[in-house]
Amino acid sequence: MKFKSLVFLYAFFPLFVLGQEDDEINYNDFEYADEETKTYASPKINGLSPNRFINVSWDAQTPYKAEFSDRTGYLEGADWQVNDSANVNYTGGLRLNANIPIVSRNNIVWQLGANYMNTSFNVDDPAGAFEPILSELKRRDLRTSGLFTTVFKPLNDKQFLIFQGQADYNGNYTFSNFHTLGLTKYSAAFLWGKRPNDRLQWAVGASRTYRVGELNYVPIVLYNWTSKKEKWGTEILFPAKAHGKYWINKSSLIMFGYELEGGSYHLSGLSFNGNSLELRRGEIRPRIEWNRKLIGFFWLNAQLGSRLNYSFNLDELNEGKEFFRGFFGKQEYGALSSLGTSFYGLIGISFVSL
Amino acid sequence: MSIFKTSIPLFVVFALIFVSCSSTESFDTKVQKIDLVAVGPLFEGVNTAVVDFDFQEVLPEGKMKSQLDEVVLKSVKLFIDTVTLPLPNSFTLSLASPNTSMKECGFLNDPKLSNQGKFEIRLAKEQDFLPEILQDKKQTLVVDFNLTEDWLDDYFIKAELDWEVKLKN
Amino acid sequence: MRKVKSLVFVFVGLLMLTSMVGDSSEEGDKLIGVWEPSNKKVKVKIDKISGKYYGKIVWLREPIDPETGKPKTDKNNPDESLKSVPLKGYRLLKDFVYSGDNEWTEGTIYDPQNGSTYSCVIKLKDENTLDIRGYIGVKTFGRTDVWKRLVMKKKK
Repeated sequence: MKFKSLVFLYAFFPLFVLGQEDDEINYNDFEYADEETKTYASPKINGLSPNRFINVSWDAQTPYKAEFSDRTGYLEGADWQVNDSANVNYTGGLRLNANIPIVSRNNIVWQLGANYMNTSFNVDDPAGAFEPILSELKRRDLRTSGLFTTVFKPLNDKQFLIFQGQADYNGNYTFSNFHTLGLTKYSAAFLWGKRPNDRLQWAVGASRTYRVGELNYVPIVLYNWTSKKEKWGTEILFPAKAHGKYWINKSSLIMFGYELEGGSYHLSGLSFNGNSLELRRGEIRPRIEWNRKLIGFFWLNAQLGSRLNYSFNLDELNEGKEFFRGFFGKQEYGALSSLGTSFYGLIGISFVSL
Repeated sequence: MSIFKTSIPLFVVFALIFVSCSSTESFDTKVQKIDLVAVGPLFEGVNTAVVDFDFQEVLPEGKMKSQLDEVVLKSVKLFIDTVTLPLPNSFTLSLASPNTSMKECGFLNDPKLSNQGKFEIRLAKEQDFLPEILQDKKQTLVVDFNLTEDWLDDYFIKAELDWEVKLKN
Repeated sequence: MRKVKSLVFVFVGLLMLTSMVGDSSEEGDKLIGVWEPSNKKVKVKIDKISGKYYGKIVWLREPIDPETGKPKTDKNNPDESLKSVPLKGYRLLKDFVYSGDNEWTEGTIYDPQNGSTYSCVIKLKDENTLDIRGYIGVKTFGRTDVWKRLVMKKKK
């Protein structure tokens, strides 16, 4: 203790000096008044892209050619001849997404969400054997309406569990003409992971997914990492999506990578051999995305990329019953089809948290 | 045609009213001198000196703070008797009022000893929040200073604030 | 002698906490003190200035920025000219007003990690535990953290 302080203490705080002459108040020396704070792994890491609570966006693809096989039935990977084809001039539509925290505390985060995606097709003069399908796609949009829930449960300061469940209602229904709810597709994912520091989190798990059209069960890996200077990083949920990222500044983020997109759509009003039809639609979207702060917690996102066809095949569901083909199943497709590669753009506005 | 004839004089009248209403007057106030004290004992680390004031007193007679349109805090100097008081290793200056949020206005890291114990604060570029704070019923100046050692007495700071104001007529 | 030491220590502690406080007998003053968020990265001292409650960082687990080798500053401040303001002493909690029922409202919380300021409400769960909820717009879009009260170590 400095001399000046001592003089002051002797003059005004004799008792203090008697008792505490070797003490200095230091916040290192503070202790808990009762229990210690419990630290839990945070669901975020530094430099993560903004978490979208609400997103409204519009997606549009450039023209491409759609080609179809005949309807004799094909196994996965079989050779097939183009039987019909059509030019698709426009594909795109509105996308809405809401992800609302129901419980958000340091020891658990539970979110409920809803999504809606509309895809319109503008097909040139449908004709041939696939005329009914092409005409139907032209007449009625493909829609996805989904509900999902995510639970993030930290086990301690490093480990965490993630559970996600989703119910999607996909098809060419309209809001005045819904399909039966029995056609709802259920997906789920479960991950266990670690957050070793503020710039890295990783997890491994498994999922039941319709992401590229048909039902499958796949292992998943999450790997989110940010560089020391918080400029570069990755946001990976393999195989569904994988992106590198670069923060231009705190209000502007570039992401580059790919996302798998799609689902299984029930096509009502159409049937093959008396069976109901499911369109197994899957796309790979390599892309670059720009996220830019507009004002406050409102951000703009714009994507430019390519839409590569993964699947646009048709399955016949006997009595509407879903089945599992996986990677090795021997069930035949009702028809195979392929979409020419196109470019796409997406623009949206989000209400986010950082 | 008659509509145009009546509209033109009306437009001129409105334009004149608009111009006269939106005119402003810009001037420097006299330098505001404020004494702050942080009541001891003070401990190593960040301590705070606070003082309330009324910005009305800074304005010339006949001018009201409710007329404030734009305000620039041009400079802030802090004076400390460094012969008797320890030199902090940083200052942060904030302004607050009852109905607004506290805002940081400036700071100074690693102040160097000077003969007069004068320290010039580095001011924030964004000062759009000033009129709202200064129009409130009272203002609070907050100076945080980071001591490297305990100081068991009161700590005195004199501040000089130099304002440029633009008043609406 | 030990008892005298403890008493004196408590007295000085109280003096420290009330140095900037007007009327410490007010109910809202239960918030005044030193608190630790659940991530344990900082210690925050809450005090009262002109009738409102503010919390400033008084201790950082990692006070030095590994990039610069100097004390950490508010490098994510949206105002470029304030990026060098020291984090130690920075007010994370601002403008809280006691609204009764162990709740403080109308305040904000600042996240130095991303330079964002969120609306915030503080609830005293028990004498030594705070629920601090930062949110955007409405409380739904937020997250609650649990802070624990710290006191000076008792001398043995």
